[in-house]
Amino acid sequence: MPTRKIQVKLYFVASERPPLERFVPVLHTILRDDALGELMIDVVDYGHVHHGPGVVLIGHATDYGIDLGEGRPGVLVFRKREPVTGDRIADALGRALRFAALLARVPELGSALRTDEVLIRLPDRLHAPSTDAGFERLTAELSALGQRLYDAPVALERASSPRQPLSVRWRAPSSPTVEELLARLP
Amino acid sequence: MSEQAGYKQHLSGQIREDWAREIDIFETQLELRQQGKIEEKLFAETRLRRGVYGQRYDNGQRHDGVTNRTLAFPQRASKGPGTLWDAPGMMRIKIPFGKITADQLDVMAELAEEYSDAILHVTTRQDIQLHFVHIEDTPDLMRRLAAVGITTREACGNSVRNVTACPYAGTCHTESFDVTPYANAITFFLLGHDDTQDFGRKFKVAFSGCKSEPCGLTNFHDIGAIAVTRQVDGETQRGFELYVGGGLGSVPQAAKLLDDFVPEAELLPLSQAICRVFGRLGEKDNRSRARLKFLVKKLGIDEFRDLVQQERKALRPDPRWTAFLDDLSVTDERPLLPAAPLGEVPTDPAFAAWQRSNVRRQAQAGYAVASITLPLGDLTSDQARGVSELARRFTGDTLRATVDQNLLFRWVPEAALPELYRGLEALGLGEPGSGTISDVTACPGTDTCKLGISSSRGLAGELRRRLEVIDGELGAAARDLHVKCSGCFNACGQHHVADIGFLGVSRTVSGRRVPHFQLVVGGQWTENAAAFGLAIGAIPSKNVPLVTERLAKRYAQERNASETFRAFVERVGKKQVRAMLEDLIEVPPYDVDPSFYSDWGDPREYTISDIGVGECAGEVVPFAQMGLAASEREVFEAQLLLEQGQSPAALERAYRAMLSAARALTREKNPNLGEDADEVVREFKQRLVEPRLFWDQYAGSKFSHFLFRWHDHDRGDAGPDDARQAIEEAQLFVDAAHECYARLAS
Repeated sequence: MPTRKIQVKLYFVASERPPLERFVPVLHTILRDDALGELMIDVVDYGHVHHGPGVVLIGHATDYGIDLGEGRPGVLVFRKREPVTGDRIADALGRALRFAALLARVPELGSALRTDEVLIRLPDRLHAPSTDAGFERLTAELSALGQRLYDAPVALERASSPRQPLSVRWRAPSSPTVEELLARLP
Repeated sequence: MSEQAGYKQHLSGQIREDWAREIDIFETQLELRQQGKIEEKLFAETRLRRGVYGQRYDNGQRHDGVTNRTLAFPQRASKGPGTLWDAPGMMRIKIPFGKITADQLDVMAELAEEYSDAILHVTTRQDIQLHFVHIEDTPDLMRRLAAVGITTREACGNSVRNVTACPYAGTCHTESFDVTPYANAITFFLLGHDDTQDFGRKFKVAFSGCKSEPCGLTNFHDIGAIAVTRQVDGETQRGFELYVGGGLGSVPQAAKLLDDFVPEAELLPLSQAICRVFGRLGEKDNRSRARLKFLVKKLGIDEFRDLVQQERKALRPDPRWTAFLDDLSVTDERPLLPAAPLGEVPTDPAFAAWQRSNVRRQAQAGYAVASITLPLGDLTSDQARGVSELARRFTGDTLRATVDQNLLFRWVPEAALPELYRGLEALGLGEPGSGTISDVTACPGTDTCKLGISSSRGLAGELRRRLEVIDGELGAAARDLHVKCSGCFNACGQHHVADIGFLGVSRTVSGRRVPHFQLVVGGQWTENAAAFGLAIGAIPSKNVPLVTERLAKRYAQERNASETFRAFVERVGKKQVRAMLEDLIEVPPYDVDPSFYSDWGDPREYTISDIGVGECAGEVVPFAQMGLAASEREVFEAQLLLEQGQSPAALERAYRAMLSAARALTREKNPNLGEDADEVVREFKQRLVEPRLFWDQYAGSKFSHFLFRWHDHDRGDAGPDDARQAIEEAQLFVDAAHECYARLAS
C-alpha cells in the first residue's frame, strides 16, 4: 500500500538561520486568514531545538513548517493522513510552493527559495522502508515529475540511512521561480 | 482505522501476548466508539488509561487573537465529552523510573517523526510525550512501543501513573541501596491491578535512595518511598520510610509518614492496601478533592494508617509480593567499557563548562553520570537517534530521563567523557548548565495543554535565553538556583518546590486580559522537595524575566555565607521580597505597550477563552462498569470471529464475555476475588445468584445458567451453531449483568 505520509522540503537561498520569531506572527495570520484553504490548528515554536522543526503551522491533514533540519533552513510540508488522488508527490510539492508564495509576500522574512533542490521524505517505515528497493520505487515516481517540472532530467540521490525515513534528494539543472513551478505542476 | 493496521501483522510474535491482546482490545474499542457502541465518558477513561490524552483546541474552538473560531474537524464520533475525534491529541509514554534503552529511544524517535512532529518531550515525571497524534494512529504506535518493552497502559486517567525514581539510583554516593528493582516491581505489580481500578483520581508513586537529595521528590507523591536500612541481630535489613498523601496542585500538601520502616517484603502488599483504601474511601464526586492527600487529611494520618493496616490483614496473599526479591539484580545496568579516570583534563573551556555542570562522579570509581541538557525537555528524532548511538557506544545501552526534563548517561568511564561530549556537541546537545538556573523546567502550558492559562514554555524559553547571558554575573550559589514554570495551578511544572517558581494566572487590566505568573519563592528542592515556596504576587508575564534576574542577582549579592535561597527569602521576608519587585508588578496601558497583552511566543492578543476541560482527572468509571464494558466488547469480538468462520474461538470469546461480566459484578462483593474461572463462577453463584441479586423478575436465574452451562461444557469442538447460541446467550447475560449492576449501585 503506498503511504499517505509525504514530506517535501524546499531550501531557502540564504543558508543562515532565519529569524524564526518573525515567522511566528505570519503563520498565525495565515491560519487566521484561512490562506491555505485547509483546516489549520495552531502554530508551534521549536526554535530552541538544534536543527529541529523550527516553527510549524500544524494542520489536520498537513503541517507547514519553517524547518531547520540538516542545519539547512527551508520550507517543509508534511502531508500526514488524507488520501491523495493523482500524483501524491506533486500534490505535496504544490502545497509547499503555495506556502512559499504566501511567505514571499512578507519580504522581510528573507524566505526566498532555491528550487533546484528538493528533499522528498516518506516517514512511514512500514510502507516505505529506507531500503534500496524503496529508493528504486520512489525514484521511478520522481523522475517523470522532475522531467515535467524542469524540462530536463533531475538527478536523484538517496538521502537517508536505513534508520531514517526514506528520503530522496532531487537536484535539477535550473531553478525556476515558484510561480513557474506551480504552473508546470500536473 | 489507521492505514498502518499492518503493524499488527508486522510485529506479530514480537509483542508480549497479554500486551498484544490489550492493544487489539483498544483498537476494537475505537471501532465500537466510532459505531456509537461505547458511551462517551467510558471511552474517554478507556483511552486515557491507554495514555491517549486530549490536547488544546480538541473541542474544536480556538481564539485567533481577534475572535473565537470553530476548527472545522470532520464530524465524527467524539472521543470524550467535548473532545472531537479528529482533533490531534497527546500520547504519553510511560517510562518506569525513567529508564530507556537505546532501542526504545530509536523507536520513540521513529514514532515522533511518523505520527507527531518529530519532537520527543521529556516530562517532569520521567515520561516521554508526543503531541499532535491522531487517535487512529495510536494502536500501531502502542504496538511499536510494546515490541520494545514499553506499555502506555495507565499513563493517564484515574490510575497509578508512571512510577518515578531517582535517576542516579545504583550509581549514587548517598543512597542506602539501589531502589530500581523495587520501583520496577511496584510498577508491574500495580499495573492493571484490580485494586487500582476504582480510583477517583490519579495516583503517583516515587522512590528515592536517600533522604538528603532532591532526586526522588517523594514529599509530593501519593506514595513516597525512601530507601533505609536497619541492623537486626547483626544483619542489615532493607526497607523503606514510607510517606503517603503528598501532592502539589492548587492545594500542595507534604506527604505524611505512614511507617518509618516498611520491610522490603511488605512494600508491595502495603502499597496494595493503600490503593484499596483509596479506591474504597477516596472522593469520587468532587474531582478537585479526590486525590489521596485529601483523604489522608480528612481522616488524619493515624486513622488512615489503621485502615491501611486492617486492609493489609484482609488481603489475599499474592506470591508476587515477594517473588521479585529472589532476583534484585534484574534491573542492574552493567557498564560497557572498563572504568578509567579522566586523567589529563582537556583544555577546551566548553568541555570544562559542560563537565562542571553536567557530570557527576558515580559511587563506582572511574565512572561518571553525564547529563544531556534538553531545552524545555525537547529533542528531535534525529537527536534521539544520535543519543541512542552514544548510549550504545559508551554506556552499555541505557539512559534515564529525569524529572528536570533531561537525559542521563550512566556508567560512562571518566576517560571517555571528552569523546562523549564531542558526540553530544555534534548533535547540538553539548550545552552545559544542567541543573542550573538556566535549565528551566516547564510543563506544556498553553502550547498544548487544555488547562493552560499562561505560556509556561514560552516563558521558560525566554528565561533560558536571558539567564544564560547573565550566568557569569551570578556566582556559584545563584547559578545553582532552580527555576520552574507551570502554566496553571495544577503545578505540573512543580513550581512549588523551586527556588523561584511561577504559575500561570490571568488578570484583567482596563477590560483586557493580561497574562501573568504568580511568583512563588523559597521552595526546597533538596531533601526530596522538603518544603513548598511562598506566593509573593502576580507578575505580568512580560516582566517575569526581569523579576527572575533581579531576585537571582540580589541573592548573589546579599546572601550570607552558605545561605540557601529559601533561608535568604525567610531572612529578608516576604514583604521585602515583594517590595523589591513592586515596580515590575504594574501593567502599562495597552496603548503605551501592547506587548504586555500577549504571551511569550504567542503574538495573539491574550485570552483565556481557549481553556478547555482538562483530562488530568479522567472520568470516574467504577471497576465494575469497566468490566461490563469489556464483556460487551468481547461479545462484539465473538461476533467477528464467528463471521471469520472461527467457531471455537467465537464460542470461547462469548464464554469469556460472560465470565468477565460475572467477575466484574462479583468483585463488588469480594474484593479479593481472583481470576481463576472456577473461583469466579463459584463466587458469582454464591454471592449474586443464590441471594437472588443476579435475578430477573420474569426469567429468574435463567441468564446465570448460560454461564454455568458453558463453563462446564467442552468448548473446544464447537460448530457455528454452538458459537451463535453462545453469542446470543452472552449478549443476554451481559444485559442482565448491567441490570444487576444498576440494582447493586442503587
